[in-house]
Amino acid sequence: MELIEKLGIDWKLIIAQIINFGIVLFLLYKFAYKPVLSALDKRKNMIEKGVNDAKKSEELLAEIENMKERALNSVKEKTAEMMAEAAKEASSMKQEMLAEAHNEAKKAIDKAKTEMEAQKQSMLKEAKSDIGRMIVAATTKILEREFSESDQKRLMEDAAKEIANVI
Amino acid sequence: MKTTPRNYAKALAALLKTQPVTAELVQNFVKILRKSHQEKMLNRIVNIAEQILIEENGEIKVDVISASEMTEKNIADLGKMIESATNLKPLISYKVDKGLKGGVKLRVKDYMIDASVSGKIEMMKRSFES
Repeated sequence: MELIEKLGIDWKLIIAQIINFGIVLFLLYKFAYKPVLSALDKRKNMIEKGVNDAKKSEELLAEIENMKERALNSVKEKTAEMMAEAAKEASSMKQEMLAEAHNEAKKAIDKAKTEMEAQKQSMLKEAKSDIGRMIVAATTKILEREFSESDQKRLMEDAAKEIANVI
Repeated sequence: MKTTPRNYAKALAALLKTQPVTAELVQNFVKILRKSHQEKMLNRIVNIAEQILIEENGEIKVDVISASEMTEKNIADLGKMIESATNLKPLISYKVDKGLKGGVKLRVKDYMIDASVSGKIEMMKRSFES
């Protein structure tokens, strides 16, 4: 104790200083350390939350990207299917239209052929009739001019022979 | 079964061979025809009966329609031709139809034989039209 006193150390002062330090420590703890710690915790939490949110956002983004990809693929598939279907339908329609056009053309050709044939027959008939009339007129004139006794006799013989066939 | 005009004609011919034609006979015959609704066939039946009677005598009635007047020689020649073809003696009656243009038409029984120029021309016309 004497040594301490010889060294100039004042117990009372030390105790007072200890008390002061305690008070300061208490006050620091109360008003500085805790709020700072709390603020740091908050900050840490905020950062963690931010990191988590970022992660979640990334995951969400990835999910959205996936969904977008899937949707895009689905749309692509659907579009491809629709295109294939449309192409198939178009091909079928094309075939039907071609067949119909072919049939129509065939009908038109057949009709034209029939009409041409009818016209041909009509013309032939008319020509035959005209030629026939001319031949008949010429034959009539020749017969009127050239008919002789021997012709008359021959016709009578023919008629007489025919009687045997009818009685 | 309906009696045909030929059957009536045969009956009439058979009747006419056994008895002369009287008004009563004709009336009775017409009555029979009326009953069977064949009175319109009377002319035809009488003609066929006449033909049957003629044929039974070895003759045949021939109506000739000629385009020109026929001389007796023409008629005789035609008669010979018919007799030669049928072995029956033809009883020829004839009239002129200048419309025939040549040749003859012969009516024998119900048949008309057309050997006329106009007939041949008509046939030719029909063949061109068909």
